Amino acid sequence: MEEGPRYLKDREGYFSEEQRERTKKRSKEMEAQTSSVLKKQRNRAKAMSYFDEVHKYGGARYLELKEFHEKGGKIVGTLCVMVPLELINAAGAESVRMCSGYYEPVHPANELLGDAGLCPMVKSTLGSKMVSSNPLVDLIDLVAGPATCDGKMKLAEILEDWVPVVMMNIPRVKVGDTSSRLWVKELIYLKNRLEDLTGRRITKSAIRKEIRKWNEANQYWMELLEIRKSEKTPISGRDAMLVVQATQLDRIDRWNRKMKELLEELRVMQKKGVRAGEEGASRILLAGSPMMYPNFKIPTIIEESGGTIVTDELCTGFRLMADPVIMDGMSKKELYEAMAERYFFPCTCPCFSPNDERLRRMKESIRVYGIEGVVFHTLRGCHLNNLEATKIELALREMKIPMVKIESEYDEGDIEQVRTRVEAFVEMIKARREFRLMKGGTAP
Amino acid sequence: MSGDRGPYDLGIDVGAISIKLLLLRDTTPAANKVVNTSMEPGKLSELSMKELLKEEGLERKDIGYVVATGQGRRSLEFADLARTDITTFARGAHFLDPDVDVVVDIGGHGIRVMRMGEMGIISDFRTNDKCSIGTGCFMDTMAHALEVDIDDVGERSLHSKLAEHVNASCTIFAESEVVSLIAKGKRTDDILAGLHQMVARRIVALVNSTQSKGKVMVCGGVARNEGVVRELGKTMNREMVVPEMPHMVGALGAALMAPRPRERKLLMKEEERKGEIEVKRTTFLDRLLRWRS
Repeated sequence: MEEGPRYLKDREGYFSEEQRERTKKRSKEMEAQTSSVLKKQRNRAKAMSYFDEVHKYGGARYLELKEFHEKGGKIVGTLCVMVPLELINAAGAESVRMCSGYYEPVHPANELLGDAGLCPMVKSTLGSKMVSSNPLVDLIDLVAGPATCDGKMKLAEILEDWVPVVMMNIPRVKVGDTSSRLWVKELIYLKNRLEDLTGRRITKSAIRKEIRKWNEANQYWMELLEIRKSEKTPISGRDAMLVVQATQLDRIDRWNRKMKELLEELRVMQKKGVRAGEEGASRILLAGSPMMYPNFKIPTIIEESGGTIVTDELCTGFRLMADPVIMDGMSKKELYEAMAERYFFPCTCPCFSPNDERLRRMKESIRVYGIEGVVFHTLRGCHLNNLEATKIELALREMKIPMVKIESEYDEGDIEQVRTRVEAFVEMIKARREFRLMKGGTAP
Repeated sequence: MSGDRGPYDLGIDVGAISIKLLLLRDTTPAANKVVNTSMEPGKLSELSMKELLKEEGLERKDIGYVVATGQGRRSLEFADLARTDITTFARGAHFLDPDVDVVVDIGGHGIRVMRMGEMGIISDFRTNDKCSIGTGCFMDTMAHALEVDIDDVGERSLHSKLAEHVNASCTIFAESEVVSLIAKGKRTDDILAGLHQMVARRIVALVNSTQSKGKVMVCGGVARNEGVVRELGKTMNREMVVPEMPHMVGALGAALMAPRPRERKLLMKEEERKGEIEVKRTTFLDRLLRWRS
């Protein structure tokens, strides 16, 4: 960064105070609105209130991180599901997922980049940093950004104008040894940068300790997924997403504790036959582009239109915690290789090719969760998901699983359009179900 | 007949530009009505329903079920059911012609393409995104720019000898393209024909994306535009049918969605009519215009 800022030369006074305040206010309002909709859900577990608080704009978790930061603690922002959080924690730093689901910060980013059909999540993340609309983002000392899709890669580069960034080279052709060897090297590079940041050596035992915590989290997530498989799932898809996204903000040992409480409560609900969502709701798998809280527009529409999201394949949902780190040995090399395996190979981001694993996992989910339809969501400008949608739709058609593709942006202008489509989709699923039952078949 | 419900079902399609009402006795259309949408579609629908009943000499209690559809379906408080236009257009189209494989609804604000599965249940559908090109509201804008009455647009384009080529893929750009064609002194009929060709290309592209080669039914208000239908017939490259009253298909489908006993719903139309007495038979919906390219 010796040559100074490259994207915004004269930062001082570029954004008016009024715009900063407006962006802040609207972000806060949006979060409060989304949260109140979530809280109004039927049959919601009481233990969910903890996870609401973790996500709350300027809430308890923010205050805790602020105090940590004031005492000299370091906070690392992550831009992708592929950053090993174990490593960040092992360095004594806290991790915060930076990807933003707030709508309002898109506008300041548009002023800088032009509204060139770019991914709204990228723009919102950048905008939040540019006008400091989210106080959490201002605490970040270092950003870990794997160069996955074009948007994320350039986002990391632009962010360098504001905050130091560790750009990680992701091998996008996912075959053989060479790719995983490169990724191990990138992890070691990240480790070095983290050590520079915190001034603390990352020891093997620290990594092992963190891996155990995160593996425990993975186990609880699997237990939650197991509960969601039941015919009357006691947790909505939105709540499940909220819970798993909390891992990206919270201290993982505390998350584990709270998750255990939630699981207990859900099991009791399950025994009593208490279900989230309405009777006879269609079982939906949500796929496609990431959806960070509070951008719960699409899942809310689905669950308000007679569908229940019983699982997803999003990198802001299922994929966050879907795999454990499997430690084969005790040597440093083996530890890094184990982490690289966990974060690289199971990641089914469409930036990879070949990416048949994604379809394989989706097919598996359709089978074990009794999925009746797939909602494939793409953010505007998410070319990779857009491109893969066709392949996925054709494969699903062979399985006789209907799919609806919905493109959306970070604004509320298209809610009613999307609602009509989702409602029609749910009506279609229900008609098919009825027809199957009539012909003497069984419901899934 | 189910319980003390009246023998008629009313389908109300609250569209972006107009509200269509269709009264059905069992499966036979009895009466219909079209009014322009107002700011209060709920009230207007109720008023129109009352007018329709009066015209037919019926009372509210004669209606068993009211089923609402279209964009304003949720604004009708008196409706028993609300179904999306995607479902109802498919249902109506299947009723008119069970052999249809793809249903195209070109409405006021949206284009919807439905692929049919077994028993008239949709297996797949697509819609236009935020783009309004080819919709009724697009045709309105173009007619306005050309100073032609919307009812004459189809007719006039048929007089064209050589259609002007229109490229634009956006309503606003199309309008400025049209204005520049006017400035060049091109004939209105030719410009209209060019517009219809462009709309037809867009719709055929949407139809092709379903990867079906089966029979297509075109409905929705824009299907009343003869010019668009003719161009679609040329471009579609497969069998295409257009109902006599294409805009009524949604209301028809809605009325058919009335939750009458299951066995009734599944009977085919012909069997249904056996033993039917004293129903005022109208054939206004039954005629299909066929196009083959």
